[in-house]
Amino acid sequence: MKSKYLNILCLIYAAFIFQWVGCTSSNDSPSPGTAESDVMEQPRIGLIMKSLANEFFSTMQEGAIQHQSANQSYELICNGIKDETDLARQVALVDEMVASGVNAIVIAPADSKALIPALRRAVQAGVVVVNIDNQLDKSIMEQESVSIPFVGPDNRSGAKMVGSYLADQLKPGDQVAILEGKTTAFNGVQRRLGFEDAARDAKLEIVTSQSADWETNKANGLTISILSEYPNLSAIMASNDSMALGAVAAIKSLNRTDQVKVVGFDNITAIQELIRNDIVLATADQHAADLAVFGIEAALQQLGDQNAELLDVQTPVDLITKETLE
Amino acid sequence: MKTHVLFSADHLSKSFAVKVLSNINFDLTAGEIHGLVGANGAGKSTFCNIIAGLTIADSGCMTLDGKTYQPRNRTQSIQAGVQMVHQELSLIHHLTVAENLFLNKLPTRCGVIQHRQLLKQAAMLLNRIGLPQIDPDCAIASLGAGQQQLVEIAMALSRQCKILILDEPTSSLNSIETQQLFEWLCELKDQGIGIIFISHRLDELSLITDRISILRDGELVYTGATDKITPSQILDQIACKNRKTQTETAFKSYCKPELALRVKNLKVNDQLQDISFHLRRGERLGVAGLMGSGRTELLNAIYGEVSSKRGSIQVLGDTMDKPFQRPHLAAQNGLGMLPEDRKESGVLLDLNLTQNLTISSLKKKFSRFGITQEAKERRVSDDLLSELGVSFQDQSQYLHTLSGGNQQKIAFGKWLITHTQTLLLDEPTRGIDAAARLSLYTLMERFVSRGKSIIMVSSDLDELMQTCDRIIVLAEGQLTQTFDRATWKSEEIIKACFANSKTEEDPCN
Amino acid sequence: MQLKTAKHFALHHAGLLVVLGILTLIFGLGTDSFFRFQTLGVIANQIPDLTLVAVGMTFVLIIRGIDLSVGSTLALSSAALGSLLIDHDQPVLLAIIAAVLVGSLCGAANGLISVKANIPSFIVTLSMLEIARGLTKLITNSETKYIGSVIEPISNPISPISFSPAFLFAVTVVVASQFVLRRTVFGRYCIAIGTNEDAVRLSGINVVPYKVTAFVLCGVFCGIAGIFHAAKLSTADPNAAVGMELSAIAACVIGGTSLMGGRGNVSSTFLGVLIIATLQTGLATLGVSDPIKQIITGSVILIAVISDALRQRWS
Repeated sequence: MKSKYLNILCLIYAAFIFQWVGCTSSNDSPSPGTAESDVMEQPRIGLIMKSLANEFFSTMQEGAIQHQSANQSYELICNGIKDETDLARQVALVDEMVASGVNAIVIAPADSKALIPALRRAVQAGVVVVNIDNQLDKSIMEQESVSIPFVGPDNRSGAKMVGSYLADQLKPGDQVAILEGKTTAFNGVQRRLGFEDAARDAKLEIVTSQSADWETNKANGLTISILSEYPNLSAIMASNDSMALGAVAAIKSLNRTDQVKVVGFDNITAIQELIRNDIVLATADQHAADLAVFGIEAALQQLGDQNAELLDVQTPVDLITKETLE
Repeated sequence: MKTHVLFSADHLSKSFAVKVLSNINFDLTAGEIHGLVGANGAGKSTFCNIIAGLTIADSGCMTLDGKTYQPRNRTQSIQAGVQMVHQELSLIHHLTVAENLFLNKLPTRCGVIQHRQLLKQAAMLLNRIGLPQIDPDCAIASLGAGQQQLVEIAMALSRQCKILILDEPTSSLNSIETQQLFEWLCELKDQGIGIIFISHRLDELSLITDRISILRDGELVYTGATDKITPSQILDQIACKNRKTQTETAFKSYCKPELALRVKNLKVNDQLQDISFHLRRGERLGVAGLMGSGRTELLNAIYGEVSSKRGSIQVLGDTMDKPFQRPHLAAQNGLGMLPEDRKESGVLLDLNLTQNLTISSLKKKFSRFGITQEAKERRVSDDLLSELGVSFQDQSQYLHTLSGGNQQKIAFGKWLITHTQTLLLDEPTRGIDAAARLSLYTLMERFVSRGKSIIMVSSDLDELMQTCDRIIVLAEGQLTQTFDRATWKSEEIIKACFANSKTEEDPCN
Repeated sequence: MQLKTAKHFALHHAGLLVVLGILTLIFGLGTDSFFRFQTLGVIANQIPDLTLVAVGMTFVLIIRGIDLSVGSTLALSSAALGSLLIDHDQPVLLAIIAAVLVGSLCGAANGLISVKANIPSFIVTLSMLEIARGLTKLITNSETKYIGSVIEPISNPISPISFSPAFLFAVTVVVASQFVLRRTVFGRYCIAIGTNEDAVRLSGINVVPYKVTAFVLCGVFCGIAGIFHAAKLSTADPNAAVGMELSAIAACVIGGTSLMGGRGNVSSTFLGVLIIATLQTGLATLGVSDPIKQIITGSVILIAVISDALRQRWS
């Protein structure tokens, strides 16, 4: 009887491997993921995004697709995950891209730490990796002894710029609140630090700083409770525009549009209308459509010149206000 | 009293496997309360189901208001004005009285219930039919059983109603509520509604009804004015029967003097009161009683299926402080059970024959270190299946592919390979053909011949008299009488089933 | 014997094997990289955690329960592992034992409360889903905890066979669980309880320990899955396995496990996991857009379930 179960074990392995056997022979795979074996072909680039339900990331992806169709000098494979917390899936995507033999991976990591081991494996397999959007943790990269260039905006200085613009319209001692992004995301932390820098410089009082996980709905609920707890609040600094939208809705529902100012970050379409109508004061544009393109260009450059040094590239961040929109 | 004939049945017959109704001639006049009485299986329910359109008669015809009446289903009978209130209530407990009353025609505007209008309608209805004391806005669950019964009847009356059929309406009522119900029935009667009133309580029947019809074995044996017949005459009519001479010769007792089980002062809430009896080794003890007399509850209480109970149970000399709290404790002490509803809780229809047979003894007899020994299982079940006389193709066929009789044999068989000393059988032959029935009796006999014992509940008195050493009779939760094989008479046993009726004053006077 | 077993296996899983085969063929023809052995390795090393969780879920579904807390339990055990290794500098073995223990405690709580207090397991485990997730965030301070290379060997492929220890363990668990389900008293009673609990109880069997054990088993598997998850990411992630209960239930259902209890097979559940993973990897390799991915995934689950239902009717 026991041998029957051993047989089943073997069969499961067999059934599993069977899928591939027979087909592999006709397809003598090139050593995957290495650039030199594909000299004659166009390079293949895997773009791995975060949640594509977020307009910011879908804009980014569209920018990349347009860039590709305009250039035709490389092949692009885009993938995203269902929400911004699905780390395991993003790690799997990195492995899958390596296995499918891409030459470069451009990634907006959902977590600044957890993706590093997978990306290290990719680098070891000879794939060029470029980090965009959310910067990977430096100390962990050191521990994993890997170096991945970051191509993207300085979120901290961008947030400080927005925060300072807000501070100009307030007076010292005014109360402000910060809506943070995911506490696990590096860019979220950077933006909070930038807001804090601005508040410190202008001597504003930060009464509370809480995370709404980047989400409109959570920001809405959080803002309502913050507003009722701090009746004298003058402004809310939201770490992205989705949360700013939630905050605006909350302020409206409590009829405090005149007293409480809102700033955001990302410059999504929905927020521009609110800025024109003086409901939101300002946001920061990090040129979402181009962010992935900057990363792809850096990767292509690297693929073209194997000896080029891996350097971080800082991309521009602009302040968006009513004036700049007109 | 008006003499207008509201409803009549002419030579009505119905048979399922056997004849359950033959040549019933029955009439109901407007403004009459007509009592219907008979022993279990006499055909009362079938008769009422035919009137209510739930069952269709094989032959015979019915008239309603002088016109031919042939309901094909419940909807047609309701439209014709025949309303039936079952023993089990069909109210929705967490809705209010008003919502229950108007459940299929709630007043709405754009899909929103017009609460105030609903309450007004309900109050009007309750008023009209004589129940102004019930608040239409209170939840059904907050009403007592009697009030619920009244609401249930009100629901029937809220539709057009010419004939009202009440199936044991007083079984869940206390004496005050019964009184209330009777007063109300008298009012309905004055409105010209014809009422068919089924009850086991003879005193009630003689109080409230105008005429009484008695059914026995599918035949209408008596119809006449209530004041022309005494309760004891009614009993004689129910019980008296030219019984076929029983196969007494076949019976052999295996009863030994030692006790197998002793039940002392067993109480279960208000369902069983102070039951005490004993069971000897090798004895087959029958439990007779009407539906709802507490027969099933008694077996469940002994087997630990009912948790709130008091008293003591003694098994083979070991006294338990308390009755068994859970079935597996009873099973450990040598009890086994075949529940009433075989398909719901007696067998595992989606497992195979072997697995059903070994379910109770799997751990003790067919496993080593928790791993099942399938070869041994198959061997034992092969022997067992032929011993039981089950007809089957393959041990590994699903149980649901077998007939009811074979299923029951297997349910019985699983206790033969355990250390079970006493089996509790609840209606073991219900829905089983005659051949399987006989082989089940043989199995029972073989079981007790090894010094083991059986307690058997059955609605079929013939069956009990054919197979048991002794019969105890339950009525309304009390053990009323014990009969020994040597001296019993079927009429006396039936009369004992009808004992314990309450007495009340006539509300119509 | 070998042939008979093979036939039996193929016959019982015909519908699923066909679906899996078709998927593989489509992806193999659609991309030039899918048939590489490396892709097989990627799929294999991605599924150990889902496999374990789905096997645990199979047991719970068979006794006519459900465990919605599997994802949170997984996260809690990986958080416990991370916290012990990083914050408290404990040895790896101790942390692993603790992680499994945490999982089994969650399972025991689910089982005892739902069985003893007779509350539907849907409600109890729904509460556990929130509680365990909350505890996870408390332990990790809502931050991703980087563990590093100490536990990585668990999920790193062993060089010649390109499968990780985690995958080999998961497959072994599948086979062992199939054995437990079909060949032990516990397995027999689980199936019987799922078929008709009243009948089992009236057959004189105490159903409580068997039902609780099914939940504990599920918890233990979630605990081990938590270790594998942490090893795969080298981190303890507070948001780990959000929504995994649905993937696990999907895998079970694809494998023909009934949500009404009594019917189910661990080996078919494993095929369900394979179908989900193959689909995910294949679609990513093709670079299909996100909305289309979800639509296709849902449709394949439906097709698998329908083909299983048809096979049932034919046989």
